[in-house]
Amino acid sequence: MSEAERKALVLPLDGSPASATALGSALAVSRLTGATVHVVHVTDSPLPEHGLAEYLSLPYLEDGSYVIHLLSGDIVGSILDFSLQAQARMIVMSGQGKTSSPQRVVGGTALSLMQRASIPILVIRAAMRHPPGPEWRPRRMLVPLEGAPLADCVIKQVFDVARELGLDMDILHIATSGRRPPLETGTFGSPRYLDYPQYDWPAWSEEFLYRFYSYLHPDAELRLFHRRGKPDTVTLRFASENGEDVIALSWRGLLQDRQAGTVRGVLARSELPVLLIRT
Amino acid sequence: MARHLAPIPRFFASIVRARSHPLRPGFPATSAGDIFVSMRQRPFRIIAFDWDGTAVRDRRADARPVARALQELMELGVYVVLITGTNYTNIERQFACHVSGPHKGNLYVCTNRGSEVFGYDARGELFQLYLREATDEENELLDRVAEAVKREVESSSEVTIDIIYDRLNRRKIDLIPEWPDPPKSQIGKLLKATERRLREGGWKEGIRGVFQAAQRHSQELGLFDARITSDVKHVEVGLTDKSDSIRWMLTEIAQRRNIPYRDIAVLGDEFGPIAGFEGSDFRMVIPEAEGVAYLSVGKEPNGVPPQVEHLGGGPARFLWFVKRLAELHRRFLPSSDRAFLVVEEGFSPLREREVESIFTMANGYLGTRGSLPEQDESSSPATLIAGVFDRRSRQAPEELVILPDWLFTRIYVDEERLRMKRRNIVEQHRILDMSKGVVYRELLYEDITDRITFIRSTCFVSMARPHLLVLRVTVVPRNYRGEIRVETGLRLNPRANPPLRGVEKASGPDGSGILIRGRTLFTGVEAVMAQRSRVAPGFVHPEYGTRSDDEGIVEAWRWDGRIGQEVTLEKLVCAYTSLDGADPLFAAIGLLEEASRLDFEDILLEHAEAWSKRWEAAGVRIEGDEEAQHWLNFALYHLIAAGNPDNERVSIGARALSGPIYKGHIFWDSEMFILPFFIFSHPPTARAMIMYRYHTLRGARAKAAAGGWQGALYAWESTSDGEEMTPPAALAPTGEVIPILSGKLEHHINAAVAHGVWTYWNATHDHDFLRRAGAEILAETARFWVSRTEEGEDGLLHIREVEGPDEYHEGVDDNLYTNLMAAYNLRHAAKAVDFLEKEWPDDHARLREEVGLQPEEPRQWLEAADRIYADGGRPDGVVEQFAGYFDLEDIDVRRFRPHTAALDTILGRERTAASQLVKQADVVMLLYLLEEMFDEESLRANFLYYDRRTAHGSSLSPAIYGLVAARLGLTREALEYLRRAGTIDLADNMGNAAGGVHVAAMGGLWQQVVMGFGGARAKEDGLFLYPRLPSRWSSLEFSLAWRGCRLKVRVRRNRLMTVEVEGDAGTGVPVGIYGTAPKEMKAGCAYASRWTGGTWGDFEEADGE
Repeated sequence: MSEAERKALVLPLDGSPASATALGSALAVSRLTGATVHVVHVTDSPLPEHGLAEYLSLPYLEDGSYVIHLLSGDIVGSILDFSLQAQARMIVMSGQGKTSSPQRVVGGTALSLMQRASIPILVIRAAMRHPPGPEWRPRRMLVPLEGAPLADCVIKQVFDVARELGLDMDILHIATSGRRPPLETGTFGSPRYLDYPQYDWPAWSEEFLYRFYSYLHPDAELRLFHRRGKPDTVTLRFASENGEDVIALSWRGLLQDRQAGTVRGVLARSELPVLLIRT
Repeated sequence: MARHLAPIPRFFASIVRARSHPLRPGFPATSAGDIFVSMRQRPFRIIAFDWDGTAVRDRRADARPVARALQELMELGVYVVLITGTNYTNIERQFACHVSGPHKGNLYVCTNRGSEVFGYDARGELFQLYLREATDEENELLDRVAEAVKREVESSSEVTIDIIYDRLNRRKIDLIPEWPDPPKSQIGKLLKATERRLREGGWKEGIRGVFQAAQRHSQELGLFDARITSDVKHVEVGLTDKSDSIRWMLTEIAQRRNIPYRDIAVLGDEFGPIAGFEGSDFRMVIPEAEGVAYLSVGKEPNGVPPQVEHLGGGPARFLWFVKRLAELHRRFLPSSDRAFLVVEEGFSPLREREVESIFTMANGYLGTRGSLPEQDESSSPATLIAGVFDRRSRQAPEELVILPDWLFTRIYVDEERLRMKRRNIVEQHRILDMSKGVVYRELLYEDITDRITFIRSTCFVSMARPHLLVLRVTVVPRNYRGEIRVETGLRLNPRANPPLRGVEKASGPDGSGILIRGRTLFTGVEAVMAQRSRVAPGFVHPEYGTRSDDEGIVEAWRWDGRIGQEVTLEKLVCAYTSLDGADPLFAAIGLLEEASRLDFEDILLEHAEAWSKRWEAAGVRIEGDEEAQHWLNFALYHLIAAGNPDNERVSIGARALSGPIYKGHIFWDSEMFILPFFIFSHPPTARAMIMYRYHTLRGARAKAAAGGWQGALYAWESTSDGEEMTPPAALAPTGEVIPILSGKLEHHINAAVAHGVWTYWNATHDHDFLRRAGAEILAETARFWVSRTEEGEDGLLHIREVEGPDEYHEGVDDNLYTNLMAAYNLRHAAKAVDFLEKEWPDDHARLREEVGLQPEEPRQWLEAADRIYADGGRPDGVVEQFAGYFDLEDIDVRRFRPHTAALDTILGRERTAASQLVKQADVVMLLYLLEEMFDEESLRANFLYYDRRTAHGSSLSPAIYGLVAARLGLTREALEYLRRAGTIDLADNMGNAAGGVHVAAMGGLWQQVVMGFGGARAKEDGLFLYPRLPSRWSSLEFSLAWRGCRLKVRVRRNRLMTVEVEGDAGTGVPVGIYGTAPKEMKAGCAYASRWTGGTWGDFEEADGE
């Protein structure tokens, strides 16, 4: 089995046009990484083989750009089991589908997947004005940090995705009040003391480079920024102003958690695909 | 995660536990050298000893005390070899059952007169390591020899003797069966009784005749290597004796582990002859054991052989010896007091730079970050020498030069390099022992082929010889045999910018040792580092060579490593620059040769002794708050390490010598935050720091002149000659270009220097300093202030367009701190000049001549001081930080809690400047320094007002707020500030400490404890105390150098305070309770004050309480 054959990404679809919004991104990622797109639909009802693509709101593509898998049973469990079996490196999905409602940032199935998946999920907001198409070629990934710990495993996953997609990275520190500074060992938050900013800021930047540079692809560019304000708003504004293509967020997997405010806010309004990595 | 009071790693835990048993006196407390004649300071690593009569009185004695003591030795890594004629069961019952724990693996029991050796595994399970098993023929020969002796004796006399057959590899011919089990102490009686029995029975040759018969029959019957001994009751014929135990020890422990014979002590009680026979322990003296120290604790009535040193004293002396040996070992190991340890376990590349800063080793002359010798991309090593600056370009500011990394060491196993990857690190423990400035490390490393290597290292920057740097590394293959190569050298730091230029690398002329030297480009300083490594004595003789490449130059050692073999490399490095003398190369090589003649242990002990003296003067002891004690020790460690009493051309930068990020620049922090610690703990260092300001007066005069002012204005950021080094702007990660105005506006640094001058003089009465330098500094800074003031319409003098300590507000008018401290500067300058004129007119005349001082100037200074605008405050006593401050947006920092970044970062620069948000102690600094200008109510009102508006965006801030809170009795707040100040570096999880420790904040911490909780105030009429301890502190102890005496202050639970005065006889110093008149305290006396009636009572001479 070649490396390209082993690579897999999973695109869960529920047959709604909203869920099919993610197809373009999935195909683009597939093109960039050489991964196979596995379209997964979970249903207990028999479906005709003919017209399946139409049923799933998928365009018919001649080159076999994706493979459709019909699964049965628990929807989320089946998708995750399939991902595990296929050794998928990423799930690409729309944030909305049949279970979505205007009151919720993401649909119920999407939320469950986000909470349970151990691999990165690229979430496409269904109402995005210009959802990425197969020709999408991302260049930069924005990684906002609001003082939350960036665990080793998260750093590695974020940088792995960036490497595979050939992305440059912008790390954005956001200073904010109303949240506790992280206490975890190894956390890299904003400096508490700026005795002399002419030295403390460069030192802080240098320390950042020490901590993260070894994870970076040698050809990629890494930039560090610092902003203040409400993290989701600052993130979206920064992304818009700086030509970002993907926003990467780490989270603990609890959308009701106060600390997931950034995730909620960004998912609700992002015009860019959002890469979610659970700590 | 805070690193304070972290659990002690397993290996070190045993050491700490071992220390908890205090040594009981019993013998004169002579130095180790007096007792261990053969080894000076070097502790034995193997002790072998006879059991019965040496370690215990007899086989019925209670062996638990000696078992405990020996177990301590085992825990300290000493191998203990018990040698006995009896069998293992007896030793197990009496001794071995009392020893437990993993270190029992260091115990070996040699039984049955050299025929068996027993050892223990890591779980304490017994196993036999050696057994000499006699063949049937040998057993038969032993029987025949014993029986031939018996026949000869009994056939030629009336004497009947018994043969004991059931002994391993030997037969005992019992000459006096009616004495079944005589104690050793009865040996004199036994000897007489045996001889009488033999002779009265007709065997005129006595015991000696039996012994000779045994020798003769052995030869005749073919037992050519018979071991014949006598304990007076028996004559024994055997195949082995104690010499076999010694040989086994030499081969299987010493040689296998590469421990030199000089590190072995063998103890017995019968080395000398008894009844014409050699002592039974003399068998342990074998010719091949050259270098082994033989010690006898026996009575030895007939003296000891020349190889043996006689201690005497019996088992009690043996126990004392064991305890002394443990004590000696502990001197080389981490302190047992956890408050003096910083422990780092494992390895996190993310945090490595923080650890390096925290583990910095320094002696004021030179500092080295505590980087791992292996180094990889996570390391940021740096060695910095105070005062060695250079520039990146002609226009760039000076910064400290990063010198070659002398810790650099790489270890290869079969050519595979040990790399610091987490997957390879089974265990790693690092300990900074702050009591003696030593970094210890143990690493268990497993490579990809499962080879496990144990590495132990010890390194330090000598406090006794400031140019000497020492690293010792021991490598032990745990489970393999393979080629080991160690390269250790001087590596040019790739991150050094500016780098040394014209670097030359060379090996020593005799092929040993290496050196590297280079020169700074713009400042022209030549720097030399010379290194010589050596292999610690042992049986392994590695190949040696040197190698040089673009990275640097190394000494390389190569040997065939075997399981359990400990090979130790000791590396000495000497660093000199042309600032130290004309020929740094000559000086470096000279010191290297001198140090090379010393044992590592000697070098470590003199270093530890030097640290001990500094702690004695500087130590502060808090009982009841282990955390606070740890924070304080950490602060004092880095402060002590930063100061250099021998160099007046350097001072202490904001990160001392622990990191390059502040470029080694010297700020107001030095005088306001660091200097007080040295003034009251080590005045020579304080003097050197202030003299640095004297030597940089020229730069200060130039800066004043450039601004159009008179006198001298010190650089906000100062380096080698006092030129202003503050950059004009900085780029924040927000993309903002931040103009840096401190170099232009923070003129209060002048007052900080003046305050330092006066405080030093007031505390020391170092008149020479005042005459030579202090008065001139005061006069020149005072002149500046006069020219800096402007007369306002109100007729008062104003200081406009300045920046106070609160750097959130730039270009303000009448910053109260600046104004009042300027007035302080002016008044004290006048006072100093007046004093000079009265006491030393020649010096006064010289000053007038050299700086053109006019007679009317002191009066003008006083007038100016009186006319400087000083806000009278609001009706509630709250003073305005600067003109217009109260008009700014009011802001309460509590509204923003919690927050993830410094508050000014969150609010933004513009809003911060337009608000009352304060960066750090500004007015509150005045509440500390000029406390007497405020009444109690306004002190409190001002503190509370500014406390709510202070962001503490500077690490300098919390300690000063804590100090004032402590004086005001706001204990809860004071303790919270103490925590914040104490954990700035220790609990840093934001990378703040990565570039170096916040040494000025540490000076602030000392001030908070001593001046705040301890309530110490140095005034001109005396030193005053008014402690206010938190209720959880059961006591606070500190000492203060005060006018030639040393005051040892102890406060117990806010109830009793004692002051012991140390100093020359007949001297005395004024000391008092704050708020009352001082009392003359005499050197050699102690004084006490009690808390009564809601205040401290007057000091009274104490009656020894």
